[in-house]
Amino acid sequence: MSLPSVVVAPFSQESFFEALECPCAVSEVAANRRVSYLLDYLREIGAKTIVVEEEYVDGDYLDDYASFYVKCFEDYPKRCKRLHFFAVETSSAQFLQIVTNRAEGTITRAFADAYLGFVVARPLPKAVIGRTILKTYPSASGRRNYTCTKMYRANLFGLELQIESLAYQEQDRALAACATVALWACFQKDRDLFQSLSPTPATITRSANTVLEDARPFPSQGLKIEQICNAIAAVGLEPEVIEVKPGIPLVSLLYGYLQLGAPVLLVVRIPDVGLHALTLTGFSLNPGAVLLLEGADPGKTPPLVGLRIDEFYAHDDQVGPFSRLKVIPPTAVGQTVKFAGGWPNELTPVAIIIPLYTKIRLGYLEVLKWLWRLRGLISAISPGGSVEWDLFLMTSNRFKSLARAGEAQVPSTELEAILMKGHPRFVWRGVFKRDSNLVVELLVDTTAMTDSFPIYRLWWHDDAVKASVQQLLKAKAVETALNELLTVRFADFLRAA
Amino acid sequence: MSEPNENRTDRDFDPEQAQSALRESIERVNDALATLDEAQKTREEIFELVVSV
Repeated sequence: MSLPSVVVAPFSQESFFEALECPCAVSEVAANRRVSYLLDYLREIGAKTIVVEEEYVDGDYLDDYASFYVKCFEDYPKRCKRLHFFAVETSSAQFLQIVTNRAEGTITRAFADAYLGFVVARPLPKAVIGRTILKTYPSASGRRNYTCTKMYRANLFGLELQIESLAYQEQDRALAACATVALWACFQKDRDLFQSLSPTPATITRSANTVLEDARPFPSQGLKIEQICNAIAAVGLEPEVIEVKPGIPLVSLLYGYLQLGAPVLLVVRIPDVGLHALTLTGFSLNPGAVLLLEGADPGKTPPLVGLRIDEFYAHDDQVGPFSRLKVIPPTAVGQTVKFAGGWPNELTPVAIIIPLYTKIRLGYLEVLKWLWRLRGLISAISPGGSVEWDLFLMTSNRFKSLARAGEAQVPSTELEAILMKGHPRFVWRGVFKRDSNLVVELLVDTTAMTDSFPIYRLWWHDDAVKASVQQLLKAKAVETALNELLTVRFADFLRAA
Repeated sequence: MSEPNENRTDRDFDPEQAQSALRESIERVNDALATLDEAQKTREEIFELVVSV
């Protein structure tokens, strides 16, 4: 019985293209945009060695194969190749020593630590890039936030390797168009966050098409947004659909969901091309403001954290994993932000679709309304300054961990109650800062109904503002105005806070 | 990132001044809430769009 074939080579354009060669010719591989992107990406993250598993059974491809390719007249192979990348130089002999456990422990550990991830090469014409799991770019002192990643494990001839990433693949146009693979990437992370299903592309397209459509499901011609929603419901999640309009603080809204680690499916219009879907996986948060506008009218919407975000990171099946999506701010009120990245034209956002746990019922915009009531109260009593409002989803367990570690800056008077009392599993956390100092912070129950009062904890960091608020809340002369501004329940809640 | 119209002091409580400041806030907040209400409405046509690139 012959041993499985493996190639160990220095990473280069030639070795990468050669590894992807079958069944595409090298010239076809070189013409694939995703391959060029991956070549640059791997160079940037420091790939030094490529290890090619010549025979690899990939679960996602196998399902696609069973659903479609096996029934083609042409004889498509059912096995793929898997290309692994390492940030250290290794010879074939040394690699063999490592996998057979004959190398020194330090060498094996250094080799495993230098793992950069893998690319599954499908035996398909054109759509050669299958499941791809690669290390993200470095964090750049905390600016780059790849929040929608998870830990993946790879077993290379018995050697356990792991990588923090989010799976990517390009569409094959037979079983999956862009919307299907964008959903497939979302569901990978959602499974970790919400314990939902993480189906293969073929299953996603099939479940989406239980909503009858004019076009046949296979070969896939794309999905209606209604079908995308159907595919989300099929994995046990709820689709939060938001039409992009000028009144929405779009960048802050996207950030609000991405902070939880929930991938966001962004539908964009590309001039002369059509509607395209990509999966947002992270954002670049700067220390200071980088945008003047983010879609909402600054006269009506106070500054939000989104003004500090200059780019998002997206799995764009026609560009590559973690591709940069630069935010192009509106030049005037009444316009939305646009994006630039990987396409010759600007991308105009049309809709946002977020697969969410069924009990996350209150959306970002609904919670923002309560923040604006509070903002109305604070701005009525307190002097200005450089202000920023922040609103994002997180798990209450994560918040407790941060509070225990002192990273959430919870006042000592609040700490015990926050740690010991029950919370909803997911919460919206709202934070108001002035001149970079915390003023007030609150937690919002995501399971609440739209018409209920959802804020369940609030604490002040600024004693002077708190005293002024309490003084105002006790003044009978302004009670009617306060109730109108805040609602009776919110006013009562603040009196007790 | 400064907020407009936030130039009041909180040293001495003056009910009339507070009333006036609150009225101004109510107007601005109602305006902001109306904008958000409008932004939250998703048109039926959106669900019919075909994402196909």
